[in-house]
Amino acid sequence: MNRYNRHIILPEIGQEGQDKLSKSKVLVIGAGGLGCPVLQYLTAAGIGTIGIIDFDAVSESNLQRQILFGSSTLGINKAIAAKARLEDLNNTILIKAYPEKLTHKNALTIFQKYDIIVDGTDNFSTRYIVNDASILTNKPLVYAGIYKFEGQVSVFNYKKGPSYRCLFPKQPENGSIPNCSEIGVLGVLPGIIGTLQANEVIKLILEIGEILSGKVLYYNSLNHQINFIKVNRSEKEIKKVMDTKTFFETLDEEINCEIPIKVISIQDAINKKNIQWIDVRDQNINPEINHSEVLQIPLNDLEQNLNKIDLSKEHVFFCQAGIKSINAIDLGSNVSILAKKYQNREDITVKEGNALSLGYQDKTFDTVYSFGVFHHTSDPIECLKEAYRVLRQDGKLFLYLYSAHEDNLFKRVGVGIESLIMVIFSKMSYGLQNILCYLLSPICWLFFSLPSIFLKAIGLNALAHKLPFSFGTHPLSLINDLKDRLMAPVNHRFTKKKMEEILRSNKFNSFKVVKKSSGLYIFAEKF
Amino acid sequence: MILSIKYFGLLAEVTKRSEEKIKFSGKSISDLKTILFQKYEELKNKDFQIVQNNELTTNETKVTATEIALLPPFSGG
Repeated sequence: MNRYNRHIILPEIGQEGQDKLSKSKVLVIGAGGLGCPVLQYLTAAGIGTIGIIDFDAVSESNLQRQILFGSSTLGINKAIAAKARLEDLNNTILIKAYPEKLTHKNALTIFQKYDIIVDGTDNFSTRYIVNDASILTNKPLVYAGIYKFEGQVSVFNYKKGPSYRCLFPKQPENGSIPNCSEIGVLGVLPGIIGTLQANEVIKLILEIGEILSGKVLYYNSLNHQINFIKVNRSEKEIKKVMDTKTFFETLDEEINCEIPIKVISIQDAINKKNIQWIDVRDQNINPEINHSEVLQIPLNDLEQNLNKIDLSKEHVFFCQAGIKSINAIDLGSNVSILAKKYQNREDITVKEGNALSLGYQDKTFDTVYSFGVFHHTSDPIECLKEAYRVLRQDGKLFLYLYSAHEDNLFKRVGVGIESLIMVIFSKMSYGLQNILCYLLSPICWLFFSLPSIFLKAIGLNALAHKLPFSFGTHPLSLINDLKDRLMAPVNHRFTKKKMEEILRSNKFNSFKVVKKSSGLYIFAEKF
Repeated sequence: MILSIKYFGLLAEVTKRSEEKIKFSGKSISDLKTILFQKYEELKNKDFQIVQNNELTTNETKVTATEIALLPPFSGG
């Protein structure tokens, strides 16, 4: 075959070696900076079966280094785009694309179909899955990682050699070491390092030369320094992985290694610099936060407004205490829409429900924590106990309760009616309450949400706030809003006096209850 | 003794140098860590391995060589 002539005439390879290549099966994890050169050379070399696994799509910023792609493949899944390009390069081999994410669940099944695994991933969570699955399926792993101008390469799990865990036993937290999309990378670096990986794969198959096992090669492209670091096999680390064999597939996935979402305390968030706060509460929710650093994008509009988000900053998302935060999935799933758009960004932060504390952080109490007490528990004492746990951490407390203190007559009437409905609701069964919420929601939307949208559209915001009820503008969030408000037992609504009584009887000595237009606030010092 | 310490990847950014010489009178790698953490507080939060004579060390390893390197894992790909 003329295609492989230059291989075959090499005495070290010959027809026999070329046959070995065409009979071998190699799986490449990640068709990115490293994966592209690996795939290109393995395809050209005539590896019989090549698997490509990548869930990501080609984006313009990939083209600087991911040499299998071009303008015509923007937006296409990388595994599929790479397969198309490689089939043009060599149509005599079998290429299988897996346009999916590598997980604990699918890793073992896929790995078993191949002889050699190549790690071209760009995050630690997947790297450790790749390493562990290679150990469990007993496949040699050709590993590489890059950082700016430097790269590391090694062959793990080869003939009882060490694994990646023998080098770095503990998985670093995602985000602790930035990746290419955040800090940049010299485009040619993954080309150099990926080609070294392809070289190791070919050597493994041909059984020639010295395999890079038991040591890690460090390469610096700026000064061409190369260091070899010896790594010994750690039986302890290998055994830890072997012990997961029976339940490996059921291991919980990290939230999503490409979408690292951190939940941080409000105090940490306030201390951070270069933050963009994003208020994802629905419109009309109190308290209103008018601050130059706070961007208001209701959750339902988030996807359409991604361009408003300043990507040079870190982002803290927050919503109303109690209402949305109790349903964190609500926020999480929507934030992941955002995160998906900015894959590999490790600076997306989610903070649940602290709108109130943000709104009041500059006031009397500097360390504040907010609660939608009303929604958290049916028992006010339980709620205070929960508050106590928070207090022990933060030292000071800020509680927020709904009550019938409203600033205008319409609102007062509204709250009165709402309270009446709540009393009626409290006498009903749970099922009936649910059905009524669904029946009421279109009425509420038609009579309150729609007028509010309309008034705001024509610029009459002040008037919109005077409507007796404020609901979310999205029909679905409105149902949840109704359930939150009506299905909570009636004894949640305290007057100022009642709240003070509860606090005193529970040995809360130092506190201050303040009436605000949108509710009742309790500031409590240490107790 | 005088140790020559190399910093790779991210660690070179934390220490703002890729190589330096430091005076060392301690015994083990953990003594060396103490000195480095005093000098560069940010190192405490970083994952890395300390290599002596091109071999990995543990906290108990005795410092015998003058060439030491700090290696972080690389996540990019």
